[in-house]
Amino acid sequence: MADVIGLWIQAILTIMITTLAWKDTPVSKTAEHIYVGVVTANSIVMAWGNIDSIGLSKIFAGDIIYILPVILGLMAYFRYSKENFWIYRYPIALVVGIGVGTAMRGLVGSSVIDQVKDSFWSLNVPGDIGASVNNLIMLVTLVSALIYFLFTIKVARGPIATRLSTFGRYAMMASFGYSFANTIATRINQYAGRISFLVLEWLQLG
Amino acid sequence: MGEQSGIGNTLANLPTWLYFSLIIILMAYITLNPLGFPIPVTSLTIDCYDAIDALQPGDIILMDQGYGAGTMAFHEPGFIVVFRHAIDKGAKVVIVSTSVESPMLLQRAIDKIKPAAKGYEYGVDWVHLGYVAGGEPAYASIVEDINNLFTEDWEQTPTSALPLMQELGVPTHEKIALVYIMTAGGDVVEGWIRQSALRYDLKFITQVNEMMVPTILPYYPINCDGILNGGVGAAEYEVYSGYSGEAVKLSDMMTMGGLVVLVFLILGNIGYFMTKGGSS
Amino acid sequence: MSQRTIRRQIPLALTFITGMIITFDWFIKWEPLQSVTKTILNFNVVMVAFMMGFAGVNLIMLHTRRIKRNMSQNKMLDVAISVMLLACLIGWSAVGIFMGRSSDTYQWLYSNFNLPLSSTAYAATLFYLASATYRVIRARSTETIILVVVSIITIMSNMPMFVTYIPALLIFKTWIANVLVKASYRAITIGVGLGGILMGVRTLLAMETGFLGAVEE
Repeated sequence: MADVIGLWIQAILTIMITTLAWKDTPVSKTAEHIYVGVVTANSIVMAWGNIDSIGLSKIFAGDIIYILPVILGLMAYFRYSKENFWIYRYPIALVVGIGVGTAMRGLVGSSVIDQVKDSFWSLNVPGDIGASVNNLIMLVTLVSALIYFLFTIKVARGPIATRLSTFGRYAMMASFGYSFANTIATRINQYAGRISFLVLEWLQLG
Repeated sequence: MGEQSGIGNTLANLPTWLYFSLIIILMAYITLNPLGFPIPVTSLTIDCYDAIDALQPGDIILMDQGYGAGTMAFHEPGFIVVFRHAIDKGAKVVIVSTSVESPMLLQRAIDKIKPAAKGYEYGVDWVHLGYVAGGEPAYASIVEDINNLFTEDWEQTPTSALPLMQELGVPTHEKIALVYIMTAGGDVVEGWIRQSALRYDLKFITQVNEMMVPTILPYYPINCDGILNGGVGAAEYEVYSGYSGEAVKLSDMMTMGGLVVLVFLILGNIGYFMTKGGSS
Repeated sequence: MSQRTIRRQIPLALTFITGMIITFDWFIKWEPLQSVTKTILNFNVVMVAFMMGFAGVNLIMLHTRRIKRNMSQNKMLDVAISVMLLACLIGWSAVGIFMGRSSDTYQWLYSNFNLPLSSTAYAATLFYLASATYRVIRARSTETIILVVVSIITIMSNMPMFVTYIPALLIFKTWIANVLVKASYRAITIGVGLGGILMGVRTLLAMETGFLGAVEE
């Protein structure tokens, strides 16, 4: 019985929220508000799980130092106080420092050094003219796309650089066309799941 | 010229309800009457397959089941087919979630995989640790010392009671043979690449939605050993590995939905050029 | 110690210190440093988990204000919708926290409410995309002609129906991905990487302080 009720709830909510794409109506607004409420609640439940298992459990197991993040986490709620807003800055400063340090230490390697190292493509692949031509196109595309982003350097406004920059723009438009087509594929695949549910599980036509 | 611009105007201004309803009707029709066209397999998918196929019995895969309900339609088939392949190779699986919705979606995938029926015991051959907040610092913590971070699993069983977790030890990355990330966020993949593949040279494959693939391509194959291209990639993996699943059915619906969008893209441009020609 | 020191400079110093500890851990293999780093990374998880509650607090504050305003304007439908949101927020949270996130009840609520709403909300953007594709994507200039042509070829190559009869589509799509897309996005990745490093250094050196919030001095 619970399964049947659940199935109908799923179907009704699916149809209600689809109407959001059509027009803003009380039906779509209701579904939208329920969606915001339940999704936020799920975040809170998962967050509580982390606080309990990583914070409180460790404290009760004897790891007293974990009182610190619990206190700092509670201090974060001073963001809602006008007089004591500054207390919120302590936990946020730590979170930002940790996040920035963690990301930045790897960015140099993954986004710059490794990318540049891998860009030294051979322009004369023995016995494979196709690969050589492809590598040349890739090199020109990479350099021209980089030049396109160099707004502040004077040499980027010279005649050769301008032509390269234009080629870079065209290459990027081709990439964005590819990306756009893939975005369509993603959205279609997402909706296909819902259509599949409505037709096969709810209406049981198949 | 006037007649041309009249037709052009019509083509450029077709009503919204027309293509909305065509998309829904055609995709629904195809669900019931699949076309069954063969699915070509690309090198990105073959590389993912080879990464799993190279695993030895007892090797441990760290999976970030980081997809939500929004992308479940194609991430779930990708998760299922890779897990099945891992079971066949005898590889052990440790599942974490970096998306708040993922842990709630795992059970439906496990119900389809049925690891127990294949002799896979929870706690010994696979574990589910649940959601962890914090983003990239959490990934760093997981690959350094996973037992220091997770004191209990999703069902709140202490990790000290789970043999697979004890096997991971410190530093955890030395025991991980492969990292498999499923997510819709490019920043999640990049974060995992930095903290696992770049730092400890771990083998790394990922399934992202189609629109994130261009963002991840620069990392392939230097830091990333394979990319499953969303639903298309999951379907290719199912075909290549021989496991039947949901993704292959999705590809037919992709065909129909894509066809409607394609037709209207072309019609809109034809209408634009006809009206542009009429006005000039 | 002045107010400015306590309210601004100490937090900025904490950002710098934690950032430096985490960064040095990458390059220096030293057991005490690794131990401190591990603890700091775990602390981050707990602090971020606390901050995830902001969404709930913001919603409660926003919708209680809306309820008061709409009641005074006699907009009872909007009042009902806001009440429904708060009821879902508080109800779901209570079930998940007190009965357990892995309980059958919470799983039932998630599967029958969260799942269809979440998946359809994302999926319904297909209609916006289809509308934009039809009404906005026009081959007006060289750049947009390239975009439209490549889009059409890639959409067709994502469909097994077309690839079966025109195998060249897949070859063309693979070529675009491995040559043009990879090179273009590599340029973007390098640019983003350099920008990220710059922003990170500026943040750690207290040259970017937006995360501290409004300056009251």
